Amino acid sequence: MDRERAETYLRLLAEKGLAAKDAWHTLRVVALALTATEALEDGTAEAIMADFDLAMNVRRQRTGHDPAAGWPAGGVAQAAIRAAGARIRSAHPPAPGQVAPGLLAPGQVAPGWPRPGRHYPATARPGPAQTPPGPAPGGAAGPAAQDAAGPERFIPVGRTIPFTDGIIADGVYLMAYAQTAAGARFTAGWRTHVLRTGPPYFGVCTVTDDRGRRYQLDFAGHGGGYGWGGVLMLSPDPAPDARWLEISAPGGPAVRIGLDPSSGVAATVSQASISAGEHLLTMIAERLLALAPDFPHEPGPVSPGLSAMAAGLSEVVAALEAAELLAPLSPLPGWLATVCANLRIDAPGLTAPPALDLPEQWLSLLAHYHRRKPGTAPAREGYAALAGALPEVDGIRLAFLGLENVEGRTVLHVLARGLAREFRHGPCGIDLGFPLSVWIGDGGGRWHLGHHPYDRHPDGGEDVLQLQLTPPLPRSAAWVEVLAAGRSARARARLPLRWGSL
Amino acid sequence: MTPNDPWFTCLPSCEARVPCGNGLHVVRWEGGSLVLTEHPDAEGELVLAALGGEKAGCVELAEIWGRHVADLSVLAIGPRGPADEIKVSWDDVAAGGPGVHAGPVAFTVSRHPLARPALASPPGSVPPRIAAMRQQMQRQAEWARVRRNDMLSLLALGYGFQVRLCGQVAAAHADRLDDAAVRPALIAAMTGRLAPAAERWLGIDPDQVVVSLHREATWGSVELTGRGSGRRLRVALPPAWLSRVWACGLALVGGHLVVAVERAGWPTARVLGLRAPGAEPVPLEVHGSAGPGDAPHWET
Repeated sequence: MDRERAETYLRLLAEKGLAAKDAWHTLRVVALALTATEALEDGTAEAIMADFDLAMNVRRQRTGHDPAAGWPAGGVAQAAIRAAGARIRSAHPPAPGQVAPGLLAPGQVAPGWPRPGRHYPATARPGPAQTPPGPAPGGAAGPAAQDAAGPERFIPVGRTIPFTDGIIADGVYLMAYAQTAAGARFTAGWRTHVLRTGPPYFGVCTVTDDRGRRYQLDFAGHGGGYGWGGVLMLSPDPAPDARWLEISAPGGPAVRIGLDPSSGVAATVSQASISAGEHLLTMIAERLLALAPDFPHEPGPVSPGLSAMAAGLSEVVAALEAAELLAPLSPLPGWLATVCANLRIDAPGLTAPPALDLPEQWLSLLAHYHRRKPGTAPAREGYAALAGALPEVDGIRLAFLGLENVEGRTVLHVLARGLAREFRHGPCGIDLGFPLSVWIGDGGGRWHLGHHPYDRHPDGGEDVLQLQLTPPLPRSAAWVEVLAAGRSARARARLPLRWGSL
Repeated sequence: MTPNDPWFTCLPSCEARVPCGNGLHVVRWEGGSLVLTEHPDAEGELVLAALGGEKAGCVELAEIWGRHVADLSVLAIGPRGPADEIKVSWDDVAAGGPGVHAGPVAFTVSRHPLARPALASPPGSVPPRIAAMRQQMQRQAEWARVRRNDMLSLLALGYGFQVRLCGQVAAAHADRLDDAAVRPALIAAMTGRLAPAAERWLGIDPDQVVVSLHREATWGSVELTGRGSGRRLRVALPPAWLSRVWACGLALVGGHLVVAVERAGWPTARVLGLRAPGAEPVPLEVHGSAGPGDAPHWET
């Protein structure tokens, strides 16, 4: 990494931008890329941007940004773009009968979406040799996870607590139980009869264990429409040797939840070593892949919404190369260019040669987008019990704690340890605070991208995340393969699913 | 080439009128210094101001000038040449600037961007970490406001003062080639000012001008390479070029790209000029006259 060259690149870009009308956005994207990869300190980038902002203003030219929006526009911009995408979807419903795909090389332009094409097998790229299995993802997490509170427990539950309050439909479904140093909680979800009602007060529930100890439940999570999901936190923490808990709502029967750890499933970890620049481009590409469904039916050969999201990508690549964060022979620029071409993203200047050897997961998702049949019924609603933890990747440990299919979306409940405390947006709206790729394989050769919808909240040094899966997971899946990839390693494990009825 | 004469020897004095009290006072730049013509005892006034007295506008401006004589941001914001018009009025200064947004720029977002999760227990008071963060943001906002006001005040003095301040800043860093924290800003400042001159000199696209900092005791090098879109004008000059040549309005004289000043002076000087890339520079006797905006106009 050459920090001096990184700063020089950004300053020269600012010089060039003084003569342009809309350079502010590009400059910001490049600045975010260089700070995200630590090629440039925040303070330096902020100073350059502040100088550029003032330089543009005193020349009375348009800076191409909304001054009122300020600097870190990621969250606001994302919300606006998602809202726009939703409006576009509703305004342009898919035409029936349109079928599949073609994988486009950079430079080719898709005339419409979707379109006929050829089939691409989801072929895995050869990777480095796998190392011996890491800690078991299910049940006790092994000696490394031992602490004063006892071993960690991740247990699939799959039980429904009946509620008779007239608001909750069919009860509260418990997907998984997790007990870590930060506390004990169930992941839970429910549907309501009433639109936009708040969560019930769970303090009225009765919770006891096999020794007669009593516990309190408190909910933290999200709701909207008719669905709620999140965690039910237990206090105090159950003793490490507690064998079961019984939970009942007022007037309802008690439901016994066994706390014996499930049999562990081996996780595999393969070492990786990709540069900070390649990692950043991977995150950007997967961000674009995740956002693609929000812009499916924009007319014309180019998706304006996605193209706007990807503006400045060629300069980002050039900046990473200038800062020696991206090797000249790295495949990432080519992969990114291919993704852009296939998502109808206009990325001028991204002139890397075509790359058809995309990662297996990217190919799977692109193939899905190309072959998706408009009007396909959303996956049947329901919750699935699922539990298991992966070994640490880049200092982050993920535990998977249930799935829900609600209102056409699949949400994966995840408990994360080791995430940065501060939210931080990178270029193209990527969340630098969650620097891992999360993919779910459904056993049918298809991969589902878990992307972070900015709704994590801290829970005693850990973060409860709800990752949206794109595309949604079919309820036919009896197990999933979870994959978390970072700069230094990739961890994966197979976890059984147990779907529950609502 | 390391001449001993001051960098501003080729610059005549210039004046501006600034708001002070209820009127406008003349402020003069002369021999590398700011002269407050209506405040002969500026230092005494500063002492009085420190004791609670009112600070005169001229004195405040002199303080601002002093704060930024080595501030590389001046090069990033200031003019790239006479054609690069920067319009800031004293009204703009009073209003906080033309269309300038009101907060500091920042990369980190420390708050949750979406709604709070629903909690059964009532929210508590603001955590100390958040409170400290707010205070820091307020300090940054105040710092940014002061800095913005400073810059606008300096720019409101007009082109003559703007370019002389740029020269002073460049001179302050001209011998800091070993400092990696300075080089990127100097390269950008040189590129931003040399490229327009090169465009007028050769008709080359400014984006095709590549500047590097020349470290040797010689004047440097200027070469034209490649063809078509790959054409590049590669220029290596010492950072002192910014102050001694560009700031003095000498970048392009009589169809020559001036690369160094051999004998500084006003209104007559001797410079080294290039007729074409790759050629050896030739000595030129140049004669200056007052140009628009207090920018010297030179002819061979």
